[in-house]
Amino acid sequence: MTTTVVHERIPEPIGESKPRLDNRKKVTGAATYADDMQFGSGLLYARILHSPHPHALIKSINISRAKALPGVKAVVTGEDFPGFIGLYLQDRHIFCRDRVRYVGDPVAGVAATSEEIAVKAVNLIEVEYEVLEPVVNPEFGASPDAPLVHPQLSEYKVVPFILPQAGTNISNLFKVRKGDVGAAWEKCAAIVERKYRIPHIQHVPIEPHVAIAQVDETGEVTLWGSSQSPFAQRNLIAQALGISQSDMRVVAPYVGGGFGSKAGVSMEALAVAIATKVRGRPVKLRLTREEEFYTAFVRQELISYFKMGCDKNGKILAMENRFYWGGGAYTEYGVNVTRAAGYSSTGPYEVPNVKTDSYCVYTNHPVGGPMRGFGMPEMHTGLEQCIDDLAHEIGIDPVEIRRRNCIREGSILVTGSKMHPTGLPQCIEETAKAIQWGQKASPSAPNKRRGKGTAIMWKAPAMPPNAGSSAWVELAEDGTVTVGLGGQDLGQGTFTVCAQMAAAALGVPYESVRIATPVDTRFSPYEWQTVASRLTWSMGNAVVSAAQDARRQILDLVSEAWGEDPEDLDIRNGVVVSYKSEQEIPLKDMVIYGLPKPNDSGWMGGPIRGRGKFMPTYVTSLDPETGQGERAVVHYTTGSQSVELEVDLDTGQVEILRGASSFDVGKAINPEMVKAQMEGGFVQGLSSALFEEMKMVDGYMQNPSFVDYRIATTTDAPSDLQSVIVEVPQDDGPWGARGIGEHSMVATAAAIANAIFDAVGIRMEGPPFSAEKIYLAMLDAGIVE
Amino acid sequence: MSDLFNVNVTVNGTLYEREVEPRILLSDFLRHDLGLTGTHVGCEHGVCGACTVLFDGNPVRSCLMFAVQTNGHEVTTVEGLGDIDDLHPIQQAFWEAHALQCGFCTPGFLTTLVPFLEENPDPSEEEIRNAISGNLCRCTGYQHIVEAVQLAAEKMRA
Amino acid sequence: MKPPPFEYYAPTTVEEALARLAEHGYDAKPLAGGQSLIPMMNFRLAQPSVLVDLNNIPDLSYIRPNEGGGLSIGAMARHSMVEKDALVAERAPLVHETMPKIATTQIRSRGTFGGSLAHADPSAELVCASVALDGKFKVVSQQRERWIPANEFFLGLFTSALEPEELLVEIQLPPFPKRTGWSLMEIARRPHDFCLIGVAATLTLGKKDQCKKARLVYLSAGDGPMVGQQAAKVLEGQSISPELFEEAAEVASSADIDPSSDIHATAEFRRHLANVLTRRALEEAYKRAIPNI
Repeated sequence: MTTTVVHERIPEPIGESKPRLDNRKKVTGAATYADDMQFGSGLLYARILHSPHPHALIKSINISRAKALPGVKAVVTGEDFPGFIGLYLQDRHIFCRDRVRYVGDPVAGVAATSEEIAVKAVNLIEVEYEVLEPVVNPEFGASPDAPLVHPQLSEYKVVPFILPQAGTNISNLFKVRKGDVGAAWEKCAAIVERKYRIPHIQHVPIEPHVAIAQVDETGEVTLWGSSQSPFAQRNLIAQALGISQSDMRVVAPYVGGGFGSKAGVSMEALAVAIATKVRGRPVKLRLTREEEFYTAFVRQELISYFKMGCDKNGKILAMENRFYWGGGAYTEYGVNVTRAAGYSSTGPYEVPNVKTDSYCVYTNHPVGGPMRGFGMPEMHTGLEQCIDDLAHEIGIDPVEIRRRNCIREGSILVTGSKMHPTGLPQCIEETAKAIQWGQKASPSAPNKRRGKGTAIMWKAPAMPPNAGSSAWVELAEDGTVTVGLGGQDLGQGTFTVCAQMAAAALGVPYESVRIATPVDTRFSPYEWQTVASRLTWSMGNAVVSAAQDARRQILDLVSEAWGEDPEDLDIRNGVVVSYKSEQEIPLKDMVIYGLPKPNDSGWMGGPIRGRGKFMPTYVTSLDPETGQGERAVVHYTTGSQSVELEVDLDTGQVEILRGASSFDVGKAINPEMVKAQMEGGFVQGLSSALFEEMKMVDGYMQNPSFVDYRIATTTDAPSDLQSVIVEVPQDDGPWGARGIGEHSMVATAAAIANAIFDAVGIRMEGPPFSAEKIYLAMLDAGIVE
Repeated sequence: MSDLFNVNVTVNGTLYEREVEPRILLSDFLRHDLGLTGTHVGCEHGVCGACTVLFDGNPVRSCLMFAVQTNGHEVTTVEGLGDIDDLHPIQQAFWEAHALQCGFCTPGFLTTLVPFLEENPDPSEEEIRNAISGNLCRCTGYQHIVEAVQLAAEKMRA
Repeated sequence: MKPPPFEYYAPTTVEEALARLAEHGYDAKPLAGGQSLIPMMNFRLAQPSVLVDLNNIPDLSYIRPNEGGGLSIGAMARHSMVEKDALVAERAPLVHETMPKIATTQIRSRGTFGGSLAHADPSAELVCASVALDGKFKVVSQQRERWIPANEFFLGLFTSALEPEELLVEIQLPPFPKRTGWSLMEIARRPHDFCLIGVAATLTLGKKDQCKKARLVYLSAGDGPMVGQQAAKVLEGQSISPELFEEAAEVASSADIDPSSDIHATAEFRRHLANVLTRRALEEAYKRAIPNI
């Protein structure tokens, strides 16, 4: 372990539900989001010409009429930007060059003095296409008969742990071969086989993507944007443009929700590319809500096949899984979803015999990217229904089969590594208790049926093995503390949590800590990305280490001045105290100007600045044929969710009456904010289960508006929503903490599906579980006439 | 370019005199002409509720009104609900009760809730949920928001 | 996106508004609450070149009792005003029940009674309620004034009997008949969404448990408000029973409506839901009619 933080006691304010640091800005309207930034009258407005076809070759582009329009300052196309871009697999150009691969693919960009002129100019660009057959189904896409979406796949640059299959649409294949699945089936007393289909959905942050880019006369680039990943954007855009990362600056003010859609690079590169052609002038690109739906990242679709079997006691003996991930037109980021699903493919169960094939497949759909859960909600939605079916098949209670099979400390995981301490068994009990599992309440009306369902989950941070964090801690003249960090607060509360950690590690009141915002790659310390629910753990470790460094500097100085052993000194509430001499000195009296040496012989010390970093050093690679290895991931957060609901037999409508979540977060640094994550994830999961689907017909999205793509409102969320925190410490987490941001929506859809089954005995291929689908399934099953 | 119209509108207690094109939405007028960027724009088709402001005391979607229509009227935005040293009880409650995360939807919730609480000093949970069902929040799951409204109602009754 | 440019007029009297409409004909569009028109303009689905804003005409915003027990509602009365009005609650219980089901708080504080009707959206609650209540609409132009019965006003999808130079200025609702129950029910993916299907119903009882008159008008069930004429024939003159309601529901959902399929539901499912809602609405209306006997 690198920076194990061992604490005998939990210092203040760890474990306290401090109010958010950003409240003062956010309740008054003072918080500045990217669209609120002012750039003066020189600002240019960008608009993008998007592909109208899901799959076509570009035969010619004529921009002359657009260029001639008064007020147009630049018109750019793929010709101008030959470089590739992508996080794990560089399969993308900033603008399409010879081929368009989804409806919405950027073909050309315009910068003009007004939005109105930019729109007009875009409409004047003439493009001649040769329309090709689109791939709209990932399972077909993986077959040899499918037209190729990326004929040059084998030439793309890729990281070592992603395995594209040349000459196919498969941009990653993750395989698990563990034990002997074939031999295991014979020993099974029950086997179930199921197929599920999970549609594309979208993140739907309430703030649409905004990016403003400016390139100065020397070629230095500044990008202001609504961003989860300022450093990744700096790195990838600089690479694509062939400039130094140090000449690319990304500034990220408050973000109005991300959920993964603002990670990596999407539309930001467009703004920068256009800005390179109008040096000196800021160029603003803001997506409309319609564009937000299908030109930014979306969640992959998934066709999944599960086969699982257990012995007569319900002990799971084998699993065989095939996942066809519809990764969309570019899978530069999505390839790792496939990998994460592979190394997590048993769900949170100990299974001795496993065979998994997880395919990332190009389709001519919008770009599949990271979204809250990173493949886990899609995978668990099927897997956790299948576990229920297996329980029913063998005649064991669904909660009981989970108790008997769930991973515990020391369990051998799907990749062969050993499970660290986990509170999953306790989480299962907590949600069962909260939902009064086993007790059947009578429905509220004769035409209704009531049901309960449970699903459990696990998820590891999906990232490169060596994704790092860094931080600094500075003190001001009045002893207040500013923490520099490079992760972003998307609403999940990382700034608050890091302020609490800095306060605790340094020994100052929470109220005296600030975070240096906005995150600015020129001044903020490096952070890989705000993704993977990794900040509390990874960036938290860096912040703690920086605060400890500052603390050490302070105590060394005071010990020298007072001639005492640093071991006898402490910082309490912003004051250095000696337990031995009982002397005291407030931080404000020493952290900038140092302290005088005895006898007027000069000064010692100087401005205090602590620095810290964290990077996991223990993750190993996995065998490409078997998926086995020493340690696949840094850790798994686990948890359980349960729901109680009613189904209307006449209409198929579902009402969620009660929800319960319990997750093992290691240590809740701010319990109320942990609960807020559980609630928000539950309702987002509920929304994906009941309402959400990007309706795709032949590659075209049918419902890109809030009128036709619905997300849950207050009246859809249950008023009885319980959240129970379980704390089994993470050995290398700050005070034992690990992440919770994404996990809270992973099991929700499955729990709802299981509750629907409990209520009316039906299963559906996939969400959204609309009234019509449920009613038709009930008709099919003969439950209604 | 169509003709410009004079607009005399009182926003957060200050009278503004501006010339606007009639097609300028109230949301854009507040954000761009007056620099009141606390009013957020999330969809521009009247569903998300982030741009809610008070028009003569009533909550309206500022993306579904033209600025020219505010001539002679009063508009209150989130910036006008309270000062940092003297917050409205609903702002205070959102602060204390963890009722926000990314904060983008927050101004719309606050402006919707101010008149609601004036008319409903002791609202039921169902009334609260109905009152804010026209405001989308993707972060919170609404639970802490509902609790904050109850807290604010308590504060206002006290 | 912003709406394209347009000419804007803000008359303060009906006469002035009518003059503008007469002047610009088909190019002009009256702007009432704007809660449907402005989103369409933001999407550029509607691009009127002239807007005649009715919001500065105070004379169009009122709710008045009529002799005999009816009501007159000015076209520019806001939904929120109608929703909270005691006279509406007393004299037009179906309208009172309908108001909170229209869109959301913010839309109701701006949207208007007349605007919703003139928009003639077949999924709009008031369109169907006004037909169920046998409302009539006062329509004026510079040349003439005419009264159009609600069931003749709605001609099709977003199409009404209004001529370009005409303005809907008032809605009259007749006295709510005695021994009558009412119901407005909708099924939507989420509350406040455009409904998959809905029905506005009134049921008037004659002798004891006999149905004297029934009105069923369906939302999102066709190109306009769909009147359950066949179902009414099944009901009228018959003694109330669950079987009778079932038969009426069967007839209404198969013969009286003409729903179409879209991304939210198939036509078949809408017919099924209409069947369910018809029974539920009739049962509720019946229950409410009994205390009035």
